Amino acid sequence: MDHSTNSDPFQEEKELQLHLDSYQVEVPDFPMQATWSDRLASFLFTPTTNPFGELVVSSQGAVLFYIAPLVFALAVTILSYALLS
Amino acid sequence: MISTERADDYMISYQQGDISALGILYEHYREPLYAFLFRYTQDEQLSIDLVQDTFIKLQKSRSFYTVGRVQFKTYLFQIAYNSMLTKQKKKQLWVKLLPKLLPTAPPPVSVTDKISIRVAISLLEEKQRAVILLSYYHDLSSKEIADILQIPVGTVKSRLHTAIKQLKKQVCKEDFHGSFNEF
Repeated sequence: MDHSTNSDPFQEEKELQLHLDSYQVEVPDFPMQATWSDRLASFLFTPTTNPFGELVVSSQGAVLFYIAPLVFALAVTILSYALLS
Repeated sequence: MISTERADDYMISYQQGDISALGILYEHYREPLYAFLFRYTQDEQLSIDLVQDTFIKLQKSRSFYTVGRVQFKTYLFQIAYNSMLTKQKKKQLWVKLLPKLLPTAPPPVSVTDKISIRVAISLLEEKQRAVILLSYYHDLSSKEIADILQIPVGTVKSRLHTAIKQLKKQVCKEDFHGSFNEF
């Protein structure tokens, strides 16, 4: 890239030019059009944060996280027995 | 990089039904487009999606391109930039609705950390970032950048001036910490 013209705002910024030039981007190979399965795969395999992460970190949260399904299942069982009888 | 006239010729051929001309344009412009989008978003998959979206939109709007009104490169970057803004608006909506289910963001940079040029660029305000990337890495004039971002030429110049000042500040900070760490 030539940045030596008079109107070039980078002309006087030699040090900054060195830094900017060091930032090179490696371009991956990809087709002009993505298939439907490519888009779905990239959506599914994008890493996300664990929505229960903060809950499990605290001891009370962990107890709630592990006990809540059991309490829920027990409540459903009792309710279904009560309704059937 | 192909000349402006050649790009226009290929686009005219494509408008007349020559599909191979679109392939040639894609091969010439996918790299600069990806580089711009990646340096702006720092997201590989998003940048790939945006390049592909840009060429889909180019195909859909091929009849709207008029030779001589804007350069082909400017036209293409304008589509890419607008697509990126649209995606970012959608992403911001998801951030509000489901903040926990979004892709993991890189950790915030501490003031005492060494700042690379990559981080320094990502720390720039979005409107300054686009200007400096288009100006330095893609050799576009202030007029062309103004066309892409749809802002006045004077605004482009002032944003460029501010961005250079900000980057210099960050780079000097890095050098300061770099030399400090040597002792």
